[in-house]
Amino acid sequence: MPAERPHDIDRDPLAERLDRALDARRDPFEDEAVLAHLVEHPDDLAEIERLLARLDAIARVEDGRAERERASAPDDGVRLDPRPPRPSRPSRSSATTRRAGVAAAALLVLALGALAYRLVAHPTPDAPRGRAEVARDDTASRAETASRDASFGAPPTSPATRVPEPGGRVLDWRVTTTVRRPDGTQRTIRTPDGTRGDAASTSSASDHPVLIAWSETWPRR
Amino acid sequence: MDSDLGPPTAAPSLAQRLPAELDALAPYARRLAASASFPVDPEDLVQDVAERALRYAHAFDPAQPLGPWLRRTALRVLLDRRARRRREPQRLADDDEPLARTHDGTAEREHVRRLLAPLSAIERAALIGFHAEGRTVAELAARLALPAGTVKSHLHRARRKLAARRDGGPSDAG
Repeated sequence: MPAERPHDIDRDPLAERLDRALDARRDPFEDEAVLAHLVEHPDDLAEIERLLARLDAIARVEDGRAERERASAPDDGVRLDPRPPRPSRPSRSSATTRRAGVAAAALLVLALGALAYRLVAHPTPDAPRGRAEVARDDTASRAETASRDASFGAPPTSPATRVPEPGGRVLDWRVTTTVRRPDGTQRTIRTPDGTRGDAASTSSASDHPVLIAWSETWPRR
Repeated sequence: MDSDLGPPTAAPSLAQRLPAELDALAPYARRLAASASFPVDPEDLVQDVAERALRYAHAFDPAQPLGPWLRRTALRVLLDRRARRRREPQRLADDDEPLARTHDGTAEREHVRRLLAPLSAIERAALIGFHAEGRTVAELAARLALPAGTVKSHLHRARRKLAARRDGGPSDAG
């Protein structure tokens, strides 16, 4: 047995897995061995979080102590700041700033000129869009919004929230709705776009029988 | 007379197996939620697991048991939430609730002092050197004039003592 091997460390599976992850400076929650342990022992999650929080606290306090020590270090007259003293006369940087200002002003003039050209050469049409065209767009927009609002609280937003379902139908899993169960209790759940995860809804039964079956088994409060 | 065996039955899909497994998942979700350092609704967690399981059904090997896969998914969902909370700025749940924040580090320094009290000098040096100062085990071994393995054992023992203390403090909120 090597002289360096500890002989009094407890054989704690979680602790050993945490040590391996922390020694390698890996996030324990990204470590396969730790995750495998938590799958079987979810109660140990609190212990891991507590240890990580305490290590963070120690690091913060030590950082603060080191900062205070550096700030209170005596000044023996030797200049430690490597930056050169500020020159009393205008430096080359002032000329650079002036040139930058001139360039910006030139750009502004060009931009205003381009705008003026556009207004003069291509005036905004006097006639607005046709009333029918505007009304059609408004109606379509309101109908779409109303349809969504009728089914659930918040309309789907960005395409990033929409994920394809096997079979090609696009679902928005981020939409939430408050569902009232047959016994009168309420539950806010996420539902696929356009359907409701509710035993009372028939349209979703064929789309997501799993959610329907599961919702029927929710314990009553 | 030959018996009509009928066509071979296909294995149930994940969607067909899911309802029964979700019932079994609920107690696990409750234990995870109770152990988390932030509020978690176990039913909401199970809902998220169901969604994710359906979404990634193609990644599930039907020959494997579904239960462990769902538990692993529940753990992943919870850890994803934890990571999101750590990235997002603190928000007030209610305008009337003041942020529980202290700008005076005195309480935290006292808390750390209590945490480090049970550690020996070498354990403290190893723990602070590794986790606070970012030193490697080799650097600590050179500084402490100890073999690297011995430094590691002190470091591991220090972590166990740290994890074992039950008193809470301002930094144990997670």
